[in-house]
Amino acid sequence: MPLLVLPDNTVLVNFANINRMDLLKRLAKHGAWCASVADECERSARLPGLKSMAYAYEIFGVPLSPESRSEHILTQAFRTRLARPGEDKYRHLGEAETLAIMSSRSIDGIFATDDKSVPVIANELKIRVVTTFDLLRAAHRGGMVDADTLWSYLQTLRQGGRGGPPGLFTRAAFDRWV
Amino acid sequence: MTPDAFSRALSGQRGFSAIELAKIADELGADVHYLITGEPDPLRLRMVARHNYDLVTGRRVVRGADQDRAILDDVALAYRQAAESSLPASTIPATALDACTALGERFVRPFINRLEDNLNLDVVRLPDLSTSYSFMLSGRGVILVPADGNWFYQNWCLAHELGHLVYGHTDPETSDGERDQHEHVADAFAADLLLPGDAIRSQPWDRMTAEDLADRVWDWGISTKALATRLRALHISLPRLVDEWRAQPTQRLLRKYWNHAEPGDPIDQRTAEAATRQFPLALRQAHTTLIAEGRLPKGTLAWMLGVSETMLEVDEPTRPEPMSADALASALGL
Repeated sequence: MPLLVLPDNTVLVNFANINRMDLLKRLAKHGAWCASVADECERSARLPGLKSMAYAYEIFGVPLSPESRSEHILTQAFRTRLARPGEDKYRHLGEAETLAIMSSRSIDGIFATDDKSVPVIANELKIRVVTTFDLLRAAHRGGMVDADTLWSYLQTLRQGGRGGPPGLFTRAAFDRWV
Repeated sequence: MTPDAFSRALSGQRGFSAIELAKIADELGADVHYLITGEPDPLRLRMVARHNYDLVTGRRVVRGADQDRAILDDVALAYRQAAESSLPASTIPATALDACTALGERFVRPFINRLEDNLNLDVVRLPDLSTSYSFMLSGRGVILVPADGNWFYQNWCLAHELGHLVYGHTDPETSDGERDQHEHVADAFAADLLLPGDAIRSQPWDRMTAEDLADRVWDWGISTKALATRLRALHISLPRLVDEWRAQPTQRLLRKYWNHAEPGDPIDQRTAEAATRQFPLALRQAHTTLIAEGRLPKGTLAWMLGVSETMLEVDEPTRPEPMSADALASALGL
């Protein structure tokens, strides 16, 4: 059975930005997501150009919610650790909830996120983390996207302020990476 | 959240997400921790603010409260993140005299260091704060002051907030009258600490020259205006010299009459120190340790230091090798 993929909202936004929610569905054959991520996704889907995010329900199904007091407390503790000064108080709740549910239920899967704080805690919890670009590169290796198209996705995401793999600013560097 | 979803969550047919709980807590003005556990959050901060007296309304107010809120939340986050490193509890003195003894001789110039070293009391100094604040968290006292370059005001703030901590004042549930009384008590504490009655009474006010006055004002770390107020409070008739200088900038008195043997420009140096962003060493060390242990990201430490997170190089655990693209493709069944 393919590995379970749990995304956060950053990854969903990125796939919607390149208009490839269909590709995300093929990558996350076995998918799940948490309720706070679904809530963030619903809000993001109302923004211009991100309507296709609503499709995430078809990919990831009924969201998982914290079921116990300890999962809620763990979520709050992780959110405190993930936060940075100046951030909105709701920021990182989706990531914190995902980490709490994955660790407390010993879910064997990968957490797909571009939140740079997440790997610190995920590492401690032995949860594997991949980024949008890890998924896109895997899609290329799986023959779903050719290199030129992937390069164009990188440009689109960079122009939209969505970041990218460090150091990949030239096509030659990208070709070596991909 | 729809009424139907809320109703199903209350009846246990579905759970609350973390975001839903956070929004309900906001709506109710409650702590999320309280909603989850039914117990008060042990890491909830109860800040006390230094209020200014509004001559028009006759009430004590914090004019920059809204702007300060975001800064206070950020400082609170830094302390909440460091909570697991259990910073040693502060030694809160019982009286101004005890505080004076604990802080040691000539404490005013190195006031912040003495608070940290002698009492385990933290001081955070930040630009854009409109006034001073203090709070206790797990036995650790913290004072926040504006980094405005005005060391006279800053010293008074430090002493005033220490007074709040000594008397265990907390703002949120206090009435106007009670708050007024707290502010009087904290100001009286500050006056006793910085300008002790005996020391002020024993000064040869009649024979004092402008040079002598400048020397005292420098050592006491207060403004000429604060000195005049203190003299009146002690029922000492205002000496001509103090009366002449109380409405003038203290720095003018110092620039004209203070004779010092210190190298460089100590007035400018003191101003620059009072304008510097500063976080206590104990808090920074707690974050540095937690980052090295892989318990915290470095964003908050970078913010405390006023540097970019990406440029900040501190000890961090080595991360495991990421999954290779082929391994990931295979795990995903591609």
